Amino acid sequence: MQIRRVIPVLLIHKGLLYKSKNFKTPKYVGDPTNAVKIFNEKEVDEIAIIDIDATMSGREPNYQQIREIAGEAFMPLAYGGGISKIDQIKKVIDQGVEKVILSHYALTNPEIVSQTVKQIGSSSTVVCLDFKKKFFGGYEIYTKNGTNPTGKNLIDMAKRYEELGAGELIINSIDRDGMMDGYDLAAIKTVTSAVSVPVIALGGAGTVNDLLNAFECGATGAAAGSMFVFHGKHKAVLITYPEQSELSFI
Amino acid sequence: MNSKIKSNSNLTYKICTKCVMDTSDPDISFDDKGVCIHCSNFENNQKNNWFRGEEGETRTANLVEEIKKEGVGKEYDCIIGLSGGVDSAYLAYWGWQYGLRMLAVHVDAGWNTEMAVKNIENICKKLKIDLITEVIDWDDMRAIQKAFFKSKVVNQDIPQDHAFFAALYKYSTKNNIRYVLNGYNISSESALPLAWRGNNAMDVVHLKAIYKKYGDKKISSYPFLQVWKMRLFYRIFHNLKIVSPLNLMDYNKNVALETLKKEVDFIDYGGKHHESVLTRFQQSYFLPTVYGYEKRRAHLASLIMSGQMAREEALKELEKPLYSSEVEKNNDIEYFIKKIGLSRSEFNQIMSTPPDSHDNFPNQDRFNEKLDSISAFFRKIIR
Ligand SMILES: [Zn+2]
Repeated sequence: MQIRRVIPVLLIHKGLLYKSKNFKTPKYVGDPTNAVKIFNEKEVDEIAIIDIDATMSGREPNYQQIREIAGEAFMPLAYGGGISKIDQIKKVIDQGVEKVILSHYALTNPEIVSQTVKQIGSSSTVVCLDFKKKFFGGYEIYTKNGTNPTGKNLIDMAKRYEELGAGELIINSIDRDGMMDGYDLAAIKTVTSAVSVPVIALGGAGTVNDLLNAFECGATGAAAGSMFVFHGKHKAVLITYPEQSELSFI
Repeated sequence: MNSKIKSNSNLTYKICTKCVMDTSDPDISFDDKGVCIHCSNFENNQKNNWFRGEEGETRTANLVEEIKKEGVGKEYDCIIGLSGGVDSAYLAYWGWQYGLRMLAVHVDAGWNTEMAVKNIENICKKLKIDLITEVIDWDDMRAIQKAFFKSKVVNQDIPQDHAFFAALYKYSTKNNIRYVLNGYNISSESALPLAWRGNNAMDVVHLKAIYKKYGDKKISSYPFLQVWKMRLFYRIFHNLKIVSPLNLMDYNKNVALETLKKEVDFIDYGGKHHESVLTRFQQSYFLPTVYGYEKRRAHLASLIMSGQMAREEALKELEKPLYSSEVEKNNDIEYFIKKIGLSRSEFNQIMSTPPDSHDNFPNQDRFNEKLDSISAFFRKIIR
């Protein structure tokens, strides 16, 4: 049995941390360096940071900031956002990152996935697929922060990236993003039964139970944003992470 | 780091025979028995405002009744600042015991430690207290904190405290709350010298003047209390009732800590005010290095005055280094430098220049006297 991981995902917007809802209305939640420092002290399994501005503005990753964040992260750190060329991969890794997350450019140029695998290995190569449920069934992949429908099908592409050697896939539900009322479990089930590569669920988690449900549906990792930064009815910004005891009955 | 040698120029080194306050407080004076002004101030003034025993119980019962009466028809009875530290945590526990419906406000200025956020989480979850966090824009906060560091004025807490006052103003008004629970306690805070406090944090004129001289970017969303707002704020303060329940009981920090550990899984800081990396850096490195005093001295002196610690024990405590290791100290410095956005050489350069004084900057004289009394009292809401 594979190890089940619980992964906070932090979004960087204008250089600071924000949390979106359905990929819209980003709410300011703080400074990435201190947030990662706190998560680090909480001994989280792994953490992912995604710069949601880089691809939109067509710029490279902010290496300086990645380095600053990585300096506070002693757990595995994954970075995504703006990676378009193979020579950027090594630069990102050199800042102290363990995994790179490809998204938009993996769709426009799938070969970047196999090139990345060749360069840094399969286990460090992650592809993130943002999807929306289609009205008549099926899941369509969107890029550019949910603004760009690609016409491509989630299951087909998941299989494609598995063939190209990706070490894991993050499947992120745009419809559930920030809602905190549970993952799209049907989508998780469908994808995990179609591929054998580890799948990380993202989008919708609000409780420890939601995380458990994702594992139940075959996910290897349960990732979340809001759940780990918001607390209570006023959605107060407060960094939390489940205790081992809460997860131990997994 | 022992700062005994660095006392002020007018007095030769002297330490109180009763507590541990010494000439690192430039304004200190001693009577013919060698007992300091803080000790006599405690005996003659502060002690009379600390109600232990039966009188405390009666006052507590009356206070709780008043607060509940004021809260009728509202969502909350009172507002409470949570920092993750012992005093505010115990205050929350106190309010919970009496069934008060509290709205907790936490200000995140970017320096929280994991222990602080964990404690806030545990308190709010276990005692079912609603929480609001005011997250200050980090780009603004960094710029202002950096400017204050460059100025090296005594009160480095102004950027954080000012933002807290603004948040308190905002949420008490918004939620129509009249009672503010304040963690100020004579038990552990009676001996803080005036010279160690610096200018009060509510003074927006003063804050802006320091920023104008040392700041380097336009501030976009930091919550300055505007002067017109100050007037309103001041008026609201008259309507707002700031109460300090910890002075209505035999508040003992160790007992409080044990209770919190047991009841809400509270994590001990092993030191005062280390719920923020910045506060730890300031109290354990900046102030002793720049000004030659240690805030813990006043804290320990207060514990002696309130009978919670023997003088010998406090002296032994003061012999201990402020950081348990050089590594720990360097980690804090490195983190501070990185987070505030300075190079090592800029940092060293700033540390080697003489500090600026609060007196060199204007302040809101008209308000000051009144604000001072409120502010001294108020500081504790977040601490
Ligand atoms: Zn004394």
